[in-house]
Amino acid sequence: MDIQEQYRKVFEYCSSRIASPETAEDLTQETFLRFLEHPEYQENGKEMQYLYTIARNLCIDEYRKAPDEAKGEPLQADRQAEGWLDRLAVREILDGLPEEEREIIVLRYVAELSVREISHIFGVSWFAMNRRIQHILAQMRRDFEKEGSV
Amino acid sequence: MSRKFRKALKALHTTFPKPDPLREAKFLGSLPRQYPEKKIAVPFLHMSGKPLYYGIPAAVIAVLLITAGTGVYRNVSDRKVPVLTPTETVTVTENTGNETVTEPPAATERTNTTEDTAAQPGISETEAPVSGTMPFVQTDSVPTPGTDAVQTAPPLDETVPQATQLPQTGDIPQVDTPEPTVPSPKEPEPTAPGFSYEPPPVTAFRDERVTPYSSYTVPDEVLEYTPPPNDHSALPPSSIVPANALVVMGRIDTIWYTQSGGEAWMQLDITITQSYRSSYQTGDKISVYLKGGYMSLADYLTLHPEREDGFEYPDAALQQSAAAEFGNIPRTGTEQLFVLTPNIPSDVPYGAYTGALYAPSSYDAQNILQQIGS
Repeated sequence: MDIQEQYRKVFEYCSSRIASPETAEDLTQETFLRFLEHPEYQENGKEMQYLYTIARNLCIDEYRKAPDEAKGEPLQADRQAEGWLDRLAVREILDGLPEEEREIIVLRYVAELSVREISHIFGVSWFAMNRRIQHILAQMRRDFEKEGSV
Repeated sequence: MSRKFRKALKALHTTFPKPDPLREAKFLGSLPRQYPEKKIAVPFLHMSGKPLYYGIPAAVIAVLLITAGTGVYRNVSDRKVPVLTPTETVTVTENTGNETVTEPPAATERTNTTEDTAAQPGISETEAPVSGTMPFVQTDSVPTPGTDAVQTAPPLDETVPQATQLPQTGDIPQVDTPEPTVPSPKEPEPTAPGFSYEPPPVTAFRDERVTPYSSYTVPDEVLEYTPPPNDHSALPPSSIVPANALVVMGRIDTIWYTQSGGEAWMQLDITITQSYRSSYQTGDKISVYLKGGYMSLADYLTLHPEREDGFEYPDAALQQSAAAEFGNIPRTGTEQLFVLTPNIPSDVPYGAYTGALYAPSSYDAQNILQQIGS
Protein backbone atom coordinates (compact mmCIF):
# COMPACT_ATOMS: atom_id res chain seq x y z
CA MET A 1 0.00 0.00 0.00
CA ASP A 2 1.40 3.34 -1.03
CA ILE A 3 0.66 5.26 2.13
CA GLN A 4 1.21 8.68 0.60
CA GLU A 5 -1.17 7.97 -2.26
CA GLN A 6 -3.74 6.56 0.10
CA TYR A 7 -3.39 9.55 2.39
CA ARG A 8 -4.53 11.80 -0.43
CA LYS A 9 -7.32 9.51 -1.46
CA VAL A 10 -8.62 9.14 2.05
CA PHE A 11 -8.45 12.90 2.42
CA GLU A 12 -10.42 13.36 -0.78
CA TYR A 13 -12.97 10.88 0.45
CA CYS A 14 -13.27 12.64 3.82
CA SER A 15 -13.47 16.04 2.18
CA SER A 16 -16.30 14.74 0.00
CA ARG A 17 -18.25 14.24 3.20
CA ILE A 18 -16.94 16.95 5.52
CA ALA A 19 -16.92 20.61 4.59
CA SER A 20 -13.95 21.79 6.58
CA PRO A 21 -10.60 20.79 5.03
CA GLU A 22 -8.97 20.94 8.47
CA THR A 23 -11.52 18.54 9.91
CA ALA A 24 -11.18 16.32 6.84
CA GLU A 25 -7.45 16.18 7.35
CA ASP A 26 -7.88 15.45 11.06
CA LEU A 27 -10.12 12.54 10.16
CA THR A 28 -7.64 11.35 7.55
CA GLN A 29 -4.85 11.24 10.06
CA GLU A 30 -7.04 9.60 12.67
CA THR A 31 -7.95 6.99 10.07
CA PHE A 32 -4.32 6.08 9.50
CA LEU A 33 -3.48 6.02 13.18
CA ARG A 34 -6.33 3.63 13.92
CA PHE A 35 -5.44 1.53 10.93
CA LEU A 36 -1.81 1.21 11.92
CA GLU A 37 -2.53 0.60 15.58
CA HIS A 38 -4.50 -2.52 14.81
CA PRO A 39 -2.59 -5.24 13.05
CA GLU A 40 -5.81 -7.16 12.50
CA TYR A 41 -6.84 -4.44 10.06
CA GLN A 42 -3.95 -5.29 7.86
CA GLU A 43 -4.99 -8.69 6.68
CA ASN A 44 -3.82 -9.58 3.25
CA GLY A 45 -5.94 -8.06 0.54
CA LYS A 46 -8.33 -6.28 2.88
CA GLU A 47 -6.33 -3.20 3.77
CA MET A 48 -8.35 -0.86 1.57
CA GLN A 49 -11.61 -2.21 2.89
CA TYR A 50 -10.53 -1.63 6.48
CA LEU A 51 -8.98 1.75 5.74
CA TYR A 52 -12.10 3.18 4.15
CA THR A 53 -14.38 1.55 6.67
CA ILE A 54 -12.50 3.40 9.40
CA ALA A 55 -12.64 6.64 7.42
CA ARG A 56 -16.34 6.19 6.76
CA ASN A 57 -17.15 5.56 10.40
CA LEU A 58 -15.12 8.58 11.46
CA CYS A 59 -16.96 10.75 8.94
CA ILE A 60 -20.31 9.45 10.21
CA ASP A 61 -19.26 10.21 13.80
CA GLU A 62 -18.20 13.68 12.78
CA TYR A 63 -21.45 14.25 10.97
CA ARG A 64 -23.36 13.26 14.07
CA LYS A 65 -21.33 15.63 16.20
CA ALA A 66 -21.63 18.62 13.87
CA PRO A 67 -24.18 18.04 11.12
CA ASP A 68 -23.94 21.63 9.95
CA GLU A 69 -20.32 21.18 9.01
CA ALA A 70 -20.90 18.16 6.86
CA LYS A 71 -21.20 18.33 3.09
CA GLY A 72 -20.57 21.22 0.84
CA GLU A 73 -16.80 20.97 0.34
CA PRO A 74 -15.36 23.68 -1.91
CA LEU A 75 -15.32 22.87 -5.56
CA GLN A 76 -11.83 22.73 -6.96
CA ALA A 77 -10.87 22.89 -10.58
CA ASP A 78 -7.75 23.77 -12.43
CA ARG A 79 -9.13 25.99 -15.14
CA GLN A 80 -5.98 25.60 -17.20
CA ALA A 81 -6.49 21.88 -17.50
CA GLU A 82 -8.20 20.45 -20.49
CA GLY A 83 -11.80 19.42 -19.95
CA TRP A 84 -12.25 21.28 -16.70
CA LEU A 85 -15.77 22.25 -17.64
CA ASP A 86 -16.70 18.61 -18.10
CA ARG A 87 -15.21 17.76 -14.75
CA LEU A 88 -17.10 20.51 -13.03
CA ALA A 89 -20.28 19.31 -14.68
CA VAL A 90 -19.71 15.76 -13.48
CA ARG A 91 -18.87 17.06 -10.05
CA GLU A 92 -22.10 19.03 -9.85
CA ILE A 93 -24.03 15.98 -10.90
CA LEU A 94 -22.23 14.01 -8.23
CA ASP A 95 -23.09 16.57 -5.59
CA GLY A 96 -26.71 16.27 -6.53
CA LEU A 97 -26.80 12.53 -5.89
CA PRO A 98 -28.24 11.02 -2.73
CA GLU A 99 -25.62 10.68 0.02
CA GLU A 100 -24.99 6.96 -0.31
CA GLU A 101 -24.81 6.97 -4.10
CA ARG A 102 -22.44 9.88 -3.95
CA GLU A 103 -20.24 8.02 -1.50
CA ILE A 104 -20.15 4.94 -3.70
CA ILE A 105 -19.02 6.95 -6.71
CA VAL A 106 -16.36 8.72 -4.66
CA LEU A 107 -15.04 5.41 -3.38
CA ARG A 108 -15.00 3.96 -6.88
CA TYR A 109 -13.59 6.86 -8.90
CA VAL A 110 -11.78 9.07 -6.41
CA ALA A 111 -10.45 6.53 -3.94
CA GLU A 112 -10.24 3.99 -6.78
CA LEU A 113 -11.43 1.06 -4.71
CA SER A 114 -12.48 -2.10 -6.47
CA VAL A 115 -16.14 -3.04 -6.67
CA ARG A 116 -15.41 -5.94 -4.35
CA GLU A 117 -13.87 -3.67 -1.72
CA ILE A 118 -16.81 -1.30 -1.88
CA SER A 119 -19.24 -4.19 -1.65
CA HIS A 120 -17.49 -5.34 1.54
CA ILE A 121 -17.70 -1.84 3.03
CA PHE A 122 -21.41 -1.67 2.36
CA GLY A 123 -22.01 -5.28 3.28
CA VAL A 124 -23.58 -6.34 -0.01
CA SER A 125 -22.56 -8.80 -2.67
CA TRP A 126 -20.28 -7.93 -5.52
CA PHE A 127 -23.09 -8.38 -8.00
CA ALA A 128 -25.44 -6.09 -6.09
CA MET A 129 -22.79 -3.39 -5.80
CA ASN A 130 -21.82 -3.70 -9.45
CA ARG A 131 -25.44 -3.35 -10.53
CA ARG A 132 -25.85 -0.36 -8.29
CA ILE A 133 -22.76 1.39 -9.65
CA GLN A 134 -23.91 0.78 -13.23
CA HIS A 135 -27.28 2.19 -12.35
CA ILE A 136 -25.81 5.34 -10.78
CA LEU A 137 -23.44 5.86 -13.69
CA ALA A 138 -26.24 5.53 -16.21
CA GLN A 139 -28.18 8.17 -14.34
CA MET A 140 -25.15 10.47 -14.15
CA ARG A 141 -24.43 9.99 -17.84
CA ARG A 142 -27.96 10.95 -18.73
CA ASP A 143 -27.71 14.08 -16.61
CA PHE A 144 -24.35 14.91 -18.16
CA GLU A 145 -25.73 14.61 -21.69
CA LYS A 146 -28.72 16.67 -20.70
CA GLU A 147 -26.48 19.45 -19.38
CA GLY A 148 -24.32 19.27 -22.49
CA SER A 149 -27.26 19.68 -24.77
CA VAL A 150 -28.55 22.74 -22.93
CA MET B 1 -20.51 12.54 -25.15
CA SER B 2 -20.11 9.21 -23.39
CA ARG B 3 -16.36 9.39 -23.86
CA LYS B 4 -16.20 12.88 -22.40
CA PHE B 5 -18.24 11.68 -19.45
CA ARG B 6 -15.89 8.78 -18.79
CA LYS B 7 -12.88 11.06 -19.09
CA ALA B 8 -14.39 13.57 -16.69
CA LEU B 9 -15.33 10.81 -14.29
CA LYS B 10 -11.77 9.49 -14.21
CA ALA B 11 -10.48 12.98 -13.45
CA LEU B 12 -13.11 13.58 -10.80
CA HIS B 13 -10.51 13.54 -8.04
CA THR B 14 -9.07 16.79 -9.39
CA THR B 15 -12.19 18.60 -8.28
CA PHE B 16 -11.52 17.74 -4.64
CA PRO B 17 -9.25 19.78 -2.42
CA LYS B 18 -5.76 18.51 -1.73
CA PRO B 19 -4.38 17.99 1.77
CA ASP B 20 -2.20 20.65 3.27
CA PRO B 21 1.30 19.61 2.12
CA LEU B 22 2.94 20.67 5.37
CA ARG B 23 0.52 18.75 7.56
CA GLU B 24 0.74 15.78 5.24
CA ALA B 25 4.52 15.74 5.25
CA LYS B 26 4.69 16.13 9.01
CA PHE B 27 2.20 13.37 9.66
CA LEU B 28 3.59 10.88 7.15
CA GLY B 29 7.11 11.64 8.28
CA SER B 30 6.20 10.79 11.86
CA LEU B 31 4.68 7.41 11.03
CA PRO B 32 7.91 5.46 10.55
CA ARG B 33 9.02 6.61 13.99
CA GLN B 34 5.71 5.79 15.63
CA TYR B 35 5.39 2.42 13.98
CA PRO B 36 8.89 1.23 13.21
CA GLU B 37 7.70 -2.36 12.97
CA LYS B 38 5.31 -1.54 10.11
CA LYS B 39 8.04 -0.64 7.68
CA ILE B 40 6.23 2.37 6.38
CA ALA B 41 7.91 3.84 3.38
CA VAL B 42 7.18 7.40 2.45
CA PRO B 43 9.01 7.81 -0.84
CA PHE B 44 9.80 11.19 -2.30
CA LEU B 45 7.76 12.99 0.28
CA HIS B 46 9.54 16.22 -0.36
CA MET B 47 8.62 16.01 -4.05
CA SER B 48 4.91 16.32 -3.47
CA GLY B 49 3.27 17.86 -6.46
CA LYS B 50 6.43 17.97 -8.52
CA PRO B 51 7.03 16.04 -11.73
CA LEU B 52 8.92 12.81 -11.33
CA TYR B 53 11.84 13.96 -13.43
CA TYR B 54 12.69 16.50 -10.74
CA GLY B 55 14.09 13.61 -8.78
CA ILE B 56 16.34 12.24 -11.50
CA PRO B 57 19.45 14.31 -10.63
CA ALA B 58 19.04 13.47 -6.97
CA ALA B 59 18.61 9.79 -7.81
CA VAL B 60 21.74 9.78 -10.00
CA ILE B 61 23.77 11.44 -7.26
CA ALA B 62 22.41 9.02 -4.70
CA VAL B 63 23.38 6.02 -6.85
CA LEU B 64 26.88 7.39 -7.36
CA LEU B 65 27.34 8.02 -3.65
CA ILE B 66 26.05 4.57 -2.72
CA THR B 67 28.29 2.95 -5.33
CA ALA B 68 31.34 4.83 -4.11
CA GLY B 69 30.50 4.11 -0.50
CA THR B 70 29.95 0.43 -1.16
CA GLY B 71 33.24 0.18 -3.02
CA VAL B 72 35.15 1.76 -0.23
CA TYR B 73 33.42 -0.42 2.33
CA ARG B 74 34.16 -3.59 0.41
CA ASN B 75 37.73 -2.62 -0.16
CA VAL B 76 38.17 -1.98 3.50
CA SER B 77 36.37 -5.19 4.39
CA ASP B 78 38.49 -7.22 2.01
CA ARG B 79 41.61 -5.43 3.18
CA LYS B 80 42.34 -4.19 -0.35
CA VAL B 81 42.80 -0.81 1.16
CA PRO B 82 45.36 -1.19 3.86
CA VAL B 83 43.87 -0.46 7.20
CA LEU B 84 46.82 0.57 9.13
CA THR B 85 47.68 -0.07 12.65
CA PRO B 86 49.16 3.17 13.66
CA THR B 87 52.11 2.98 15.89
CA GLU B 88 52.79 6.60 15.43
CA THR B 89 54.95 8.04 18.07
CA VAL B 90 54.74 11.63 18.99
CA THR B 91 57.72 13.00 20.64
CA VAL B 92 57.92 16.52 21.78
CA THR B 93 60.98 18.09 23.01
CA GLU B 94 61.41 21.52 24.19
CA ASN B 95 64.23 23.26 25.79
CA THR B 96 63.84 26.66 27.11
CA GLY B 97 67.08 26.67 28.98
CA ASN B 98 69.32 27.56 26.13
CA GLU B 99 66.58 28.34 23.65
CA THR B 100 67.46 25.51 21.36
CA VAL B 101 64.99 23.00 20.22
CA THR B 102 66.20 19.88 18.61
CA GLU B 103 63.92 18.43 16.04
CA PRO B 104 64.30 15.26 14.12
CA PRO B 105 65.62 16.05 10.69
CA ALA B 106 63.14 14.81 8.04
CA ALA B 107 60.49 14.14 10.55
CA THR B 108 58.75 17.42 10.65
CA GLU B 109 56.32 16.45 7.96
CA ARG B 110 53.76 13.76 8.25
CA THR B 111 54.32 11.09 5.74
CA ASN B 112 52.22 8.28 4.53
CA THR B 113 54.25 5.29 3.76
CA THR B 114 51.39 3.31 2.38
CA GLU B 115 48.83 4.07 -0.24
CA ASP B 116 47.15 7.36 0.05
CA THR B 117 44.35 6.53 2.35
CA ALA B 118 43.59 10.17 2.77
CA ALA B 119 42.17 10.00 -0.73
CA GLN B 120 39.64 7.43 0.41
CA PRO B 121 36.73 9.39 1.70
CA GLY B 122 34.73 7.85 4.42
CA ILE B 123 37.47 5.82 5.96
CA SER B 124 39.16 8.20 8.25
CA GLU B 125 36.21 9.49 10.20
CA THR B 126 34.07 6.44 10.50
CA GLU B 127 36.53 3.65 10.33
CA ALA B 128 39.37 5.11 12.26
CA PRO B 129 37.93 6.83 15.23
CA VAL B 130 41.03 6.16 17.18
CA SER B 131 42.86 8.82 15.32
CA GLY B 132 40.79 11.34 17.19
CA THR B 133 42.80 10.72 20.29
CA MET B 134 46.01 11.63 18.64
CA PRO B 135 47.04 15.17 19.18
CA PHE B 136 48.82 16.07 16.01
CA VAL B 137 48.74 19.77 16.00
CA GLN B 138 51.70 21.63 17.39
CA THR B 139 53.75 18.51 17.69
CA ASP B 140 56.45 17.00 15.68
CA SER B 141 55.98 13.47 14.70
CA VAL B 142 58.42 10.77 14.09
CA PRO B 143 56.80 8.44 11.64
CA THR B 144 57.47 4.84 12.08
CA PRO B 145 57.72 2.91 8.84
CA GLY B 146 54.37 1.50 7.91
CA THR B 147 52.37 3.93 9.91
CA ASP B 148 49.62 6.12 8.78
CA ALA B 149 49.81 9.83 8.87
CA VAL B 150 46.46 10.81 10.13
CA GLN B 151 45.68 13.84 8.07
CA THR B 152 42.03 13.78 8.91
CA ALA B 153 42.42 13.56 12.62
CA PRO B 154 39.87 15.56 14.55
CA PRO B 155 40.89 18.47 16.70
CA LEU B 156 42.76 18.03 19.89
CA ASP B 157 41.28 15.77 22.45
CA GLU B 158 41.16 17.46 25.78
CA THR B 159 41.86 14.22 27.59
CA VAL B 160 45.20 13.76 25.99
CA PRO B 161 48.06 15.73 27.34
CA GLN B 162 49.21 18.24 24.87
CA ALA B 163 52.58 19.51 24.05
CA THR B 164 51.68 23.00 25.07
CA GLN B 165 51.06 21.79 28.60
CA LEU B 166 54.57 20.64 29.09
CA PRO B 167 56.66 22.30 31.72
CA GLN B 168 57.96 25.59 30.60
CA THR B 169 60.66 26.10 33.14
CA GLY B 170 64.14 26.69 32.09
CA ASP B 171 65.49 24.02 34.43
CA ILE B 172 64.68 21.22 32.12
CA PRO B 173 67.84 19.89 30.67
CA GLN B 174 68.57 19.64 27.03
CA VAL B 175 67.11 16.58 25.43
CA ASP B 176 68.76 14.56 22.82
CA THR B 177 67.43 14.05 19.40
CA PRO B 178 64.10 12.34 19.70
CA GLU B 179 63.89 8.79 18.63
CA PRO B 180 60.93 6.56 17.96
CA THR B 181 59.91 5.37 21.33
CA VAL B 182 58.78 1.96 22.35
CA PRO B 183 55.04 1.68 21.81
CA SER B 184 53.14 1.77 25.02
CA PRO B 185 49.54 0.69 25.38
CA LYS B 186 49.09 2.90 28.42
CA GLU B 187 47.34 6.20 28.43
CA PRO B 188 49.78 8.94 27.63
CA GLU B 189 51.26 10.71 30.53
CA PRO B 190 52.99 14.02 30.25
CA THR B 191 56.44 13.05 31.29
CA ALA B 192 58.74 15.91 30.68
CA PRO B 193 60.58 16.47 28.58
CA GLY B 194 58.72 14.22 26.12
CA PHE B 195 56.08 11.58 25.93
CA SER B 196 55.10 8.86 23.64
CA TYR B 197 51.70 7.51 22.92
CA GLU B 198 50.53 4.69 20.77
CA PRO B 199 46.84 4.59 19.96
CA PRO B 200 45.11 1.23 19.84
CA PRO B 201 44.81 -0.48 16.47
CA VAL B 202 42.36 0.86 13.97
CA THR B 203 39.81 -1.74 12.96
CA ALA B 204 37.03 -1.52 10.43
CA PHE B 205 34.15 -3.52 11.84
CA ARG B 206 31.70 -5.13 9.50
CA ASP B 207 28.10 -4.50 10.34
CA GLU B 208 25.97 -6.95 8.42
CA ARG B 209 22.88 -6.93 10.57
CA VAL B 210 19.55 -7.06 8.80
CA THR B 211 16.13 -5.80 9.78
CA PRO B 212 13.38 -8.34 10.34
CA TYR B 213 10.28 -8.07 8.19
CA SER B 214 8.10 -7.93 11.28
CA SER B 215 8.50 -8.49 14.98
CA TYR B 216 6.47 -9.20 18.07
CA THR B 217 6.76 -7.59 21.42
CA VAL B 218 6.58 -10.33 23.97
CA PRO B 219 4.63 -9.35 27.06
CA ASP B 220 6.30 -9.71 30.41
CA GLU B 221 3.32 -11.58 31.79
CA VAL B 222 2.96 -15.31 31.82
CA LEU B 223 2.50 -16.85 28.44
CA GLU B 224 -1.01 -18.12 28.27
CA TYR B 225 -0.66 -20.75 25.65
CA THR B 226 2.20 -23.07 24.96
CA PRO B 227 1.58 -25.41 22.09
CA PRO B 228 3.57 -28.61 21.69
CA PRO B 229 7.07 -27.62 20.67
CA ASN B 230 8.15 -28.22 17.12
CA ASP B 231 11.31 -30.06 16.45
CA HIS B 232 13.46 -26.98 16.65
CA SER B 233 15.65 -28.27 19.37
CA ALA B 234 19.05 -26.92 20.08
CA LEU B 235 22.17 -28.61 19.01
CA PRO B 236 22.34 -32.29 19.80
CA PRO B 237 25.85 -32.98 21.08
CA SER B 238 26.50 -35.53 18.37
CA SER B 239 25.72 -33.17 15.55
CA ILE B 240 28.23 -32.92 12.77
CA VAL B 241 29.42 -29.48 11.84
CA PRO B 242 28.85 -28.96 8.11
CA ALA B 243 32.04 -28.47 6.13
CA ASN B 244 31.01 -25.10 4.77
CA ALA B 245 29.63 -23.76 8.01
CA LEU B 246 30.96 -20.71 9.77
CA VAL B 247 31.86 -21.12 13.40
CA VAL B 248 31.92 -18.05 15.56
CA MET B 249 31.48 -17.13 19.17
CA GLY B 250 29.11 -14.23 19.47
CA ARG B 251 27.51 -12.05 22.07
CA ILE B 252 23.76 -11.71 21.60
CA ASP B 253 22.93 -8.02 21.44
CA THR B 254 19.30 -8.07 20.37
CA ILE B 255 16.63 -10.69 19.87
CA TRP B 256 13.76 -10.06 17.51
CA TYR B 257 10.78 -12.35 17.63
CA THR B 258 9.18 -12.72 14.27
CA GLN B 259 7.30 -15.29 12.25
CA SER B 260 7.35 -16.55 8.75
CA GLY B 261 5.09 -19.06 7.12
CA GLY B 262 3.32 -19.66 10.40
CA GLU B 263 6.52 -20.61 12.19
CA ALA B 264 8.15 -18.58 14.88
CA TRP B 265 11.65 -17.32 14.14
CA MET B 266 14.15 -15.38 16.16
CA GLN B 267 16.57 -12.93 14.70
CA LEU B 268 19.64 -12.65 16.88
CA ASP B 269 21.85 -9.66 16.22
CA ILE B 270 25.23 -10.73 17.46
CA THR B 271 28.63 -9.18 17.85
CA ILE B 272 31.35 -11.63 17.10
CA THR B 273 33.67 -12.11 20.04
CA GLN B 274 35.79 -14.82 18.47
CA SER B 275 35.93 -16.21 14.99
CA TYR B 276 36.92 -19.86 14.70
CA ARG B 277 36.09 -20.48 11.10
CA SER B 278 34.93 -17.43 9.17
CA SER B 279 36.15 -14.28 7.51
CA TYR B 280 34.73 -12.20 10.32
CA GLN B 281 36.74 -10.58 13.02
CA THR B 282 36.05 -9.75 16.59
CA GLY B 283 33.66 -6.85 16.72
CA ASP B 284 31.84 -7.58 13.47
CA LYS B 285 28.08 -7.70 13.69
CA ILE B 286 25.81 -10.11 11.89
CA SER B 287 22.25 -11.37 12.12
CA VAL B 288 21.43 -14.99 12.74
CA TYR B 289 18.05 -16.58 12.27
CA LEU B 290 16.99 -19.44 14.49
CA LYS B 291 13.69 -21.20 14.36
CA GLY B 292 11.59 -20.78 17.44
CA GLY B 293 10.67 -17.90 19.68
CA TYR B 294 7.33 -16.27 20.17
CA MET B 295 4.51 -15.05 18.04
CA SER B 296 1.21 -13.52 18.98
CA LEU B 297 -1.43 -15.98 20.03
CA ALA B 298 -3.86 -14.44 17.55
CA ASP B 299 -1.52 -15.08 14.65
CA TYR B 300 -0.62 -18.49 15.92
CA LEU B 301 -4.18 -19.71 16.10
CA THR B 302 -4.97 -18.18 12.73
CA LEU B 303 -2.03 -19.86 11.07
CA HIS B 304 -2.44 -23.17 12.92
CA PRO B 305 -6.15 -23.90 12.96
CA GLU B 306 -5.35 -27.57 13.60
CA ARG B 307 -4.02 -26.60 17.02
CA GLU B 308 -7.13 -24.75 18.06
CA ASP B 309 -7.91 -26.09 21.50
CA GLY B 310 -11.54 -25.08 21.42
CA PHE B 311 -11.16 -22.35 23.98
CA GLU B 312 -12.67 -19.01 23.02
CA TYR B 313 -9.97 -16.50 23.82
CA PRO B 314 -11.02 -12.92 24.55
CA ASP B 315 -9.71 -10.42 22.02
CA ALA B 316 -7.45 -8.79 24.57
CA ALA B 317 -5.85 -12.12 25.42
CA LEU B 318 -5.30 -12.86 21.76
CA GLN B 319 -3.48 -9.62 21.20
CA GLN B 320 -1.46 -9.57 24.39
CA SER B 321 -0.46 -13.19 24.66
CA ALA B 322 2.30 -15.01 22.97
CA ALA B 323 2.68 -18.54 21.84
CA ALA B 324 6.02 -20.12 22.58
CA GLU B 325 7.41 -22.31 19.89
CA PHE B 326 10.75 -23.06 21.37
CA GLY B 327 11.71 -23.79 24.91
CA ASN B 328 15.30 -22.69 24.77
CA ILE B 329 15.18 -18.98 24.13
CA PRO B 330 18.63 -17.43 24.20
CA ARG B 331 19.20 -14.42 26.39
CA THR B 332 20.64 -11.12 25.34
CA GLY B 333 24.07 -10.32 26.65
CA THR B 334 25.17 -13.95 26.72
CA GLU B 335 27.88 -15.45 24.59
CA GLN B 336 27.15 -18.51 22.54
CA LEU B 337 28.89 -20.54 19.93
CA PHE B 338 27.16 -20.41 16.58
CA VAL B 339 27.57 -22.69 13.63
CA LEU B 340 26.15 -20.73 10.75
CA THR B 341 25.24 -21.40 7.22
CA PRO B 342 24.62 -18.80 4.57
CA ASN B 343 21.90 -20.98 3.06
CA ILE B 344 19.10 -18.51 3.31
CA PRO B 345 15.50 -19.62 3.09
CA SER B 346 13.27 -17.31 1.12
CA ASP B 347 11.47 -16.15 4.21
CA VAL B 348 14.59 -14.85 5.92
CA PRO B 349 15.87 -11.37 5.04
CA TYR B 350 18.72 -11.48 2.57
CA GLY B 351 22.10 -11.07 4.22
CA ALA B 352 21.27 -12.96 7.38
CA TYR B 353 22.62 -16.32 8.39
CA THR B 354 20.67 -19.23 9.64
CA GLY B 355 21.86 -21.18 12.57
CA ALA B 356 22.73 -24.59 11.28
CA LEU B 357 23.62 -25.45 14.82
CA TYR B 358 23.54 -23.51 17.97
CA ALA B 359 25.39 -24.49 21.08
CA PRO B 360 23.74 -23.16 24.19
CA SER B 361 25.85 -25.26 26.53
CA SER B 362 29.57 -25.40 27.02
CA TYR B 363 29.46 -29.13 26.37
CA ASP B 364 28.01 -28.55 22.92
CA ALA B 365 30.50 -25.80 22.27
CA GLN B 366 33.42 -28.06 23.15
CA ASN B 367 32.08 -30.72 20.87
CA ILE B 368 31.89 -28.29 17.97
CA LEU B 369 35.32 -26.86 18.58
CA GLN B 370 36.81 -30.34 18.75
CA GLN B 371 35.24 -31.18 15.43
CA ILE B 372 36.74 -28.19 13.68
CA GLY B 373 40.05 -28.61 15.44
CA SER B 374 40.02 -25.37 17.42
